[in-house]
Amino acid sequence: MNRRLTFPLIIGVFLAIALTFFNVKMQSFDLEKYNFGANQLVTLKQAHNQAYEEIYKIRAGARLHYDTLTRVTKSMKEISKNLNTITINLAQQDDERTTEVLKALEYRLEAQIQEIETFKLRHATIKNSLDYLPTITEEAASQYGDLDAALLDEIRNLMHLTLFYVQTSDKEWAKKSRALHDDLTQQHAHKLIQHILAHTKLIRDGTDEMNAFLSGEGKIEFEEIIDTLQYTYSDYHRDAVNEMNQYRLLMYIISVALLVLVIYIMFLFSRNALTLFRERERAHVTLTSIGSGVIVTDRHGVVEFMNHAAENFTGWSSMHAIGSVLDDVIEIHDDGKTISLNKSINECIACGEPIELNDKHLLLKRADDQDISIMHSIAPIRDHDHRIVGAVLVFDDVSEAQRLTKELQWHASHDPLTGLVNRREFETRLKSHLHTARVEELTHTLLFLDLDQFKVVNDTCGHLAGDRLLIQITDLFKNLLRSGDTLARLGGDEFAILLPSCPVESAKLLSEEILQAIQSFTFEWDGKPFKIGVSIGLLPINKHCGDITTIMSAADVACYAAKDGGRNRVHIYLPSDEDTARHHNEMNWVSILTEALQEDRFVLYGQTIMPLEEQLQKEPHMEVLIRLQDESGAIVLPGAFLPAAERYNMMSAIDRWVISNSFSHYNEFRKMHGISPRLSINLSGASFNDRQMLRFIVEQFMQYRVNPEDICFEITETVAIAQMRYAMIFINTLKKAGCKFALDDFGSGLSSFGYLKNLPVDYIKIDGNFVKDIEGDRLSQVMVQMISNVGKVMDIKIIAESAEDDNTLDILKELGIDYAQGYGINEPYALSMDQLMPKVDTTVERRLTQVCD
Amino acid sequence: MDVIRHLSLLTTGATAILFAFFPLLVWPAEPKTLSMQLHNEPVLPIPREVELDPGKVELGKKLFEDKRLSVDNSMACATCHHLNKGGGDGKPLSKAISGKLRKTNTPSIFNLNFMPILGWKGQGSDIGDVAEAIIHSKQGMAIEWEQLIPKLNDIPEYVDGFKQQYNNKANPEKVKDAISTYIRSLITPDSRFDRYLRGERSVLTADEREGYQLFKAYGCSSCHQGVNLGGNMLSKFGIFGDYLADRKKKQNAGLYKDYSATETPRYFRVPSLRNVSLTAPYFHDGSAETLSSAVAAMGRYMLGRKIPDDDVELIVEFLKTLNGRYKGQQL
Repeated sequence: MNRRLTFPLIIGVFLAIALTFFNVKMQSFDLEKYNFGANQLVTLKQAHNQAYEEIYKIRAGARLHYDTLTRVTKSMKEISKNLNTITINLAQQDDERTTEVLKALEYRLEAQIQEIETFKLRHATIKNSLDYLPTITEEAASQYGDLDAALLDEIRNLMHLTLFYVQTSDKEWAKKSRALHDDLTQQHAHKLIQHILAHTKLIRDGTDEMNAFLSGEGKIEFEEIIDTLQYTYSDYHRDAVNEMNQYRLLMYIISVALLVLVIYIMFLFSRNALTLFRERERAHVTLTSIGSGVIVTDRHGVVEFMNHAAENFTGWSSMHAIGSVLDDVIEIHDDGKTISLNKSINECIACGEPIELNDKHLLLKRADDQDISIMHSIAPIRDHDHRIVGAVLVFDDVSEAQRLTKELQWHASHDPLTGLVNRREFETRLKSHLHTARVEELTHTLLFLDLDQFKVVNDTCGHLAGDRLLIQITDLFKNLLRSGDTLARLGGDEFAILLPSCPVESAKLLSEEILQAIQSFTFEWDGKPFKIGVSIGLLPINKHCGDITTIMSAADVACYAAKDGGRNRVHIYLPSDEDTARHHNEMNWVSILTEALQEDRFVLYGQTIMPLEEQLQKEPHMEVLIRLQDESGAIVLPGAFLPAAERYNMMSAIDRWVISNSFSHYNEFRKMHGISPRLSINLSGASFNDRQMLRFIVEQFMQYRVNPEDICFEITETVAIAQMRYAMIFINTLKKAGCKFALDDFGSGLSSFGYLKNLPVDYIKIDGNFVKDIEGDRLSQVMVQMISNVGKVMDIKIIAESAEDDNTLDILKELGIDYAQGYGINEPYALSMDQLMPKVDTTVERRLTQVCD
Repeated sequence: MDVIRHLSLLTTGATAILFAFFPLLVWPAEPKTLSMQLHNEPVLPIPREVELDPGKVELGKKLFEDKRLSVDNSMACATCHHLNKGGGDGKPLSKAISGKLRKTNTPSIFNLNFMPILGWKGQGSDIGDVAEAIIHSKQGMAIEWEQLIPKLNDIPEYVDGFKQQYNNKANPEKVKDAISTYIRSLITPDSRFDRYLRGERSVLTADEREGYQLFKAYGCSSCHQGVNLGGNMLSKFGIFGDYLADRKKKQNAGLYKDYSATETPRYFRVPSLRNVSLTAPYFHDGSAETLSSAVAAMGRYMLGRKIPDDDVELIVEFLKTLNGRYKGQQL
């Protein structure tokens, strides 16, 4: 309440009370009682006058009956009954004089009525006697006149005196009449005389009474009493009216004051109200507009206000919520435990400090039973005396923020492409498992997986294909894993699997399954199939293991060993691996390869491709292979460095090195030995991506004057199919020059024979997998047979790889294969000027002779 | 200009209206018929009608005639007040409920509506109060309200009657009101003398007219005046001589009430002369058996003169013309 309003309002209330008081006072004035009394007096006076009028009429003979007079008298009697009431009214004024006057009036009125009653009888009798007096006098005269003239005179005299008295009302006549009457009474006892005397006495006495009555003494006294009373009444009335007028004046003044006050208050109020309204409006709009839920409660946690956002959050309309306990309106829980906000409010009010709970995200149960995360704070509300009158609860929906946080956390710990955990997260989990391994003495297993053909897909088909391949591989892995296992993508084509509580044997089995699955899996892109391989390093984790770095490195080593061991295999980590592993692992492949190229530390090896038909055996034929000679002079197999070279885009350079070095020594060798062996040189997928490669090859032919007919390029079917168009151009260009082409690893990608029509190759090299087990595997035999038949039809020579023993060679020969290559013929050997062709093992020579035979 | 035009219009309109109503203003009143009514006579005719609620009159009639209004269901108002005997019972003194004789002659019940003073001693002025007094009186029905009201409220016809007329049960006020309303309705207008007063001069015979003149000339009309020819004043019985004392000497005094101890001894109400020839015997004690003897006694005691017999007869002739009609029936 505005203080400026308080004072006028108090005055207003006082004035209103005063007004009411005076009004009640006014009501207590009963002017009606004065009016009633006065009216009765007036009526009484009128009746009295009317009675006298009637009496005059009767005396004058204008009225011959008393009906009217009696009626008037009766009404006077009735008024006399009312006088009692008047007396009571006036007695209230404590006016003894008036009370006396009233008593006098009552007495006088009764007397008047009695006198009027007497008058009727007197008048009747006097009249009758007067009428009769002359008659009786004459009668007496006629009877006694002759006897006594003096008596007669006296009698007549008496009559006249009496009549005079009646007519003049002069007491003198009455006196004389009475004296005469006394004389006659004493002297004459005659009956008639006595009769006359009785009549005259009646007349005289009656007239006495009548005169006393008619003299009006009673009337005057009566009227005086009434006048006095009327004056008294009018005095009382006037006093009362005066008093009332004073009150009225006061009431008038108070009313005017009240009116002015009301106008003033209204003025103040309207100004205040306008200001308040604006402020309220602004506050309301603000509270409605903000996104935070705001709920105001009183000291006991009963809702007094809630804004629009709070309504949305809780699903309560503020109309229903106001008056309810806060806990009924808003339900908050934390991990399934309901939290009472009223308790928080009580705490807040008790300590008088705001409670901020921003760090803790609670769940608010909405009307639709959906939980949203909120962040809330409670602050006490104080009035202008700084007393706490309630609390305000502010809360925000942090679901979105929390979702983003979660997403960020997920992104920080996961690989976005495959949805698998990333290296960091994997290491975190590994750490915790390492802990259990140490404390609980459990044995877990860590698998390191490296895809073998990923680079090819990625390079030839683009990143989109690579991504797709990774996703598919991931799904493949997932299907094989237990629910507790952790599959992670460590980067590129490297995966890791953590198998908790899994002994090595089970892990080995799982690894085999994975290998199997990968081998039977074919990736298709643009309708082209790709075969993928994987190398798996297996590392048991137990209490003897070192720290995370050691473990990861050891697993990497095992994986490398698997790769080194010929890919598509599992390698269980052995401490002895450590040397080679360290050797390789610690190398920076990029620098090693770069250095090797610069320092010509690559070494060319060769492996003979031996014709199985005698008529074909004209020129020696060999595949050119590459080895790396490390700093210590040890020979490194290509399985170790080629993946690195693929990864670091150095394949093209290595291919060039191979071509360049093969060509540079070829002519020299030819001149020296007189023979021109046919060289098969591998071209990697990267070389097809290198558009300069064709030009380079042509230049190399021209530079070293090598007969293109002596050179055969080997390309894998995957590469050829993936880059069919360019491969055609490439192949056709070089074929025009006379080069031969071989399709390498045929069958590994489930190549369609249809491609062969479009690829003008001269040789097909059957994938080693078909050849290796050909002895016992009927399916492989059929496949090889089929390829052989197709080769014959299409006039393509067939080369079988991985022919590892004599039996195989026999079978291959039977199946009509043109050439064979492998350990069964010779191992790869270093090429040199002296020895382009190895000295063929005598046993092999013999075998060949036999075969040829 | 506008003001002037409006004013002139108004004036014209007002004038037109005045002219329209002018004939009404000057229209002659209906001419008065010739009135032969006598003026300034001591006697006034009885009004022909009294405005009363007929329902209450009917209820009052039942009560008036109902013997259950007495203590032993033996006496009604009508037991003493016979409407066919001039409103009295024709006996000098009626029997009280106790079997004893009442102290005064039963006065007529007729024309009390115009009677300001009631009772032989003029003790009453309100019909209801007098009726109540008689109901309670040992000489009347001797019943108290405490007995009577429950009695009446047990009688279905009264329950209905009071319910209809007063929308209430019977109570003393209502019973008094009903009875007095009925008594007010008992009027006997249109006597031959009233018709004479109203102008029908030929209604009275010459003797009767002569009797009326003697009635006035002897001074009878000094007291017997007004509508009821009496009943509006008190008078001493025996202005010349003492009737009561004389009567005491002549007759068995024990039979009559002794008024000597009363406040106003010998003072009585002047009785009404309406239907007087039907209400013999006369005086408060019923001591005058014939009208002639009553007239003669009045002359002697009240006027102090002896009225000759011829004149008495003429006056009696006149008095006989005062018999009126009750509900159109000549009494």
